[in-house]
Amino acid sequence: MADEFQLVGYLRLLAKYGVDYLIVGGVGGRIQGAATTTGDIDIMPDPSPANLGRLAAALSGRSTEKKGASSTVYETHETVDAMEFRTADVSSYRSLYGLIDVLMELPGVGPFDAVHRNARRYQSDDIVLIVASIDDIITSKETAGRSKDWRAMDALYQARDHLRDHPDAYEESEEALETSEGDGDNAE
Amino acid sequence: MRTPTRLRNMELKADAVRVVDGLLTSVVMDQPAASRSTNVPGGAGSAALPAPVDAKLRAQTEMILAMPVADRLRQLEAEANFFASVRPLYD
Repeated sequence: MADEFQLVGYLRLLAKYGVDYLIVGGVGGRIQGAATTTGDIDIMPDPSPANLGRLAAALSGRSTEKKGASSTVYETHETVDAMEFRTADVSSYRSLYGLIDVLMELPGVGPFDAVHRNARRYQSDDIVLIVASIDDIITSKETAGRSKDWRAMDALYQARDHLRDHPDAYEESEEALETSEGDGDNAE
Repeated sequence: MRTPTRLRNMELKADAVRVVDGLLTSVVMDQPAASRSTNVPGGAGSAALPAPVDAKLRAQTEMILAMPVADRLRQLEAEANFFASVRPLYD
C-alpha cells in the first residue's frame, strides 16, 4: 500500500472514469486560498446511480482498503459497491493514491444539489474542478466542530475575507459552471 | 565605517520587529477560533467586530491565490507528503 498522497492522481482517476463530483473539505479550502494542509481528499459525488457506479469502479482495485464504520482501521476492500456510499455519512477509503472520503451530505449545508448551487469552477491543466464555495466549506467545518477543523478555521476565514475583496483570477466564470452542468446532463 | 554599524543595527531592528510580530500573532492564535469568528452565532466574538488580520495568514493566502490552480494542488500534495513523513495524519 502506497502511503503517499497523490492528489493529482486522484483527480485524474476520477476524470478518467467520468465521475461528477464536488471537492469539499481541506482540498477545497486550499484551492480557494486557505493556508491549511490535509492528507486526504473529500468529495461529494452526484448521487445518480450511474455516477455512483462510476465512482465505485474508480475506487475499486487490488490495493483498495475501507475504514470500518466505528474504527480507524482500514481493511482490504477490493470491490467497492455503489450502495456503500449511501449507507454512511462518510465512506473512507485508501487506495493507490492515498486517502479519500466520500460524503453524500455536507454538514450544515445539505446534499449535492445544495452544495453545487454555490460551487466554484476551476481548471487544473486539463482537468475541470468543481469546488464547494469557501462559505459552504466553513459552514461544514463549523457544523462538524471537530478539533482538527477548528485549527483550520483561521485560515478559512482569512481566505473568505480575502476573496470578498479580491476575486480569484484563476476561478472560471459562473457561465462556465452552468455550461458544465449542461455537459453533465448530456453525458448521462 | 559607520555604515556597516548602521546596517547591522537596522538588521537587528528588523529581526526584533519580526519577533514581536510573531509574538503578537501567537497571542491572537492562542485564542479559540470560535471567539474570533464573525460567523458563529452566540460566539464570544461580536458579529460587529471583523476577524483580526493575521499578517502571516494573509501573506500565505495571497501567495496561494497568486499561483495557478495546478500549482496550488501540487504544493498541497507535497506538503501533505512532507508532514506525513514527520508525523502521522489522523483522518
